[in-house]
Amino acid sequence: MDIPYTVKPRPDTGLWNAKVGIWLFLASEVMLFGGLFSAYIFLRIGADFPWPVHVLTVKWGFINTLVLIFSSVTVLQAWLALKMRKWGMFKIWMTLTIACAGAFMCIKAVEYNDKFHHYGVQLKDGSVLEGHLVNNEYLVKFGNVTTVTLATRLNDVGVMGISLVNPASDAGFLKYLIDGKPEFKDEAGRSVTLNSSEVARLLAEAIKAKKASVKLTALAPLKFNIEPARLANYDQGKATFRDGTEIAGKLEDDTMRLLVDKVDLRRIIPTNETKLKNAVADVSKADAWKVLGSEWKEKYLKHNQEQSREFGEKHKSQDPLRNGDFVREAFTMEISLHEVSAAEHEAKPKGKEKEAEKATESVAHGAHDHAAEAGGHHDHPEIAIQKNDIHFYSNFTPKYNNFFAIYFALTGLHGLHVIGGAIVLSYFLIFGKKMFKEDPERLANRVETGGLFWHFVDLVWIFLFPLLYLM
Amino acid sequence: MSHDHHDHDSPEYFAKQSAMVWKIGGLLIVFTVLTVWLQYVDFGSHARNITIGLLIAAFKASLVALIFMHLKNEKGIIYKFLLFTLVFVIGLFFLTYLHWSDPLKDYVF
Repeated sequence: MDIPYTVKPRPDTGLWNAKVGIWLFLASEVMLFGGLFSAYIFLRIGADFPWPVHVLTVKWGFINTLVLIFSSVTVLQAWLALKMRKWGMFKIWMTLTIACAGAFMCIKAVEYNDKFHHYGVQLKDGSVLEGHLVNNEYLVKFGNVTTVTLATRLNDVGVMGISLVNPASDAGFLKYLIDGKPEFKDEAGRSVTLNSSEVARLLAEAIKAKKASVKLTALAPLKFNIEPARLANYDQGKATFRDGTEIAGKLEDDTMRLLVDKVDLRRIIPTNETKLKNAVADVSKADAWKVLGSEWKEKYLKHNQEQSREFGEKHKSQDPLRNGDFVREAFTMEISLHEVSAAEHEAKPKGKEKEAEKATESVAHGAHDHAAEAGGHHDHPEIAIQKNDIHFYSNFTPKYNNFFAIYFALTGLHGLHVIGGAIVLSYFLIFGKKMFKEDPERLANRVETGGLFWHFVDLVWIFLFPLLYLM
Repeated sequence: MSHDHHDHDSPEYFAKQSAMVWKIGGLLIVFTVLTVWLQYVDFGSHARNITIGLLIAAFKASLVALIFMHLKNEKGIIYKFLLFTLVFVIGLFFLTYLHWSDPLKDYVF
């Protein structure tokens, strides 16, 4: 059976059917994205934290905007080529369009990856330090571990037989053993060397005996370096893995090492503060300076003063603390050793350059440049933050704040549309030849339909780019 | 459309269309550059930067919708769909006003 009205217009609508179909679909899409844009506005005006502005890399967003505009042009050129019955030209333009979709997604992947590796650390008083983890890792170090308790999860009855917690212990925790051999004695005094099959055997035995756990004593004290994400909880004396395995020992080191690139002290200023002087006094007592050191504090206060002076000259009558742009620029500061070096180069005569370099290397108490180990973040000082001083930390993912939540929701959904559109357009490119020979106008209409969707994807990005990257 | 009196299937017509598509694409790029530039200009308040940015975005979006998506000379039924969409989208955006409503204190509506 032939599909009706693929080329000829249907008398009552005056249109071929696919066009009616795609516009109905696009109408529903407008509402889908409309709801999310509405959510964005809601989250932004209701935010109880300084809404992040200019935190995404404008360069990438800008390039992606150009890529999408160019692809909108090329998809139309592909359609026009079909209208003129030029298959060769169609192939070229359509290939370019799909290549643009690929380029867009690659850039998106770079951007997402950057965010996954960029961390924000909020100290107990509200100071926020941003940067990259040294070696991309943060490890909780336990020493003198003498007992390991495997959990059978026997008491977890679950719901309708389905466990709501992770399954029983496995040998995964052994991955974090960095010093010592996994040799233990069980409760009966038998020697066991743990590996995955031994763990399974011990658990099976315990389950048979209806025991909730298997307690093992190490023959010699062990050392573990563990990623906190693998732990359900931990304190000074023990750590519980997510699978229920517990190790008892001593928490020896719980320090996060960060190559810090930004300090943000806006959260310290009380929301009802009206006097700039008081705000400056508040931030100069921030916890951030305990980890960053007094030299960075001086630079920060100087930066703050300069911004205040500029603001005072420009906006004489305005209350500076009510101006979000001013507060952002004056109370956050990029931290870069590179800039410091440049400034010192200018300030010091040539002979003293080396000394100046040395000085910047350890620019502040506790802040050293370990760039070589850190994998490329050469410009940022390394700081050590004790876990006890941290209120909250996260990489720049939805967990960090509502900005990143709506950023990933909107751009993720948009990215899925790019992929979907690219698949449809690729189908026309790869399998279109037969239809081009039999009914070229029908193929042209199909491409027009896919193109309409593609323009819609571009249209959404036209709003996303300024909203997320620029405002 | 000014081309309405032309033959819509002639190669000349499509060649003209092709040239216009390039022009509109160029215009969109120019306005993208303008958007980025104006966001770093101080207009006195951030709200003004946002308003200007969104106005340019709306203009770019209408170029895409009217010309790239041929809404400029589309059949009436499509406008009817979009009218319904508009009503719902306005409704969705109106929901954000609930943000200011606090039943303990007063009613906004």
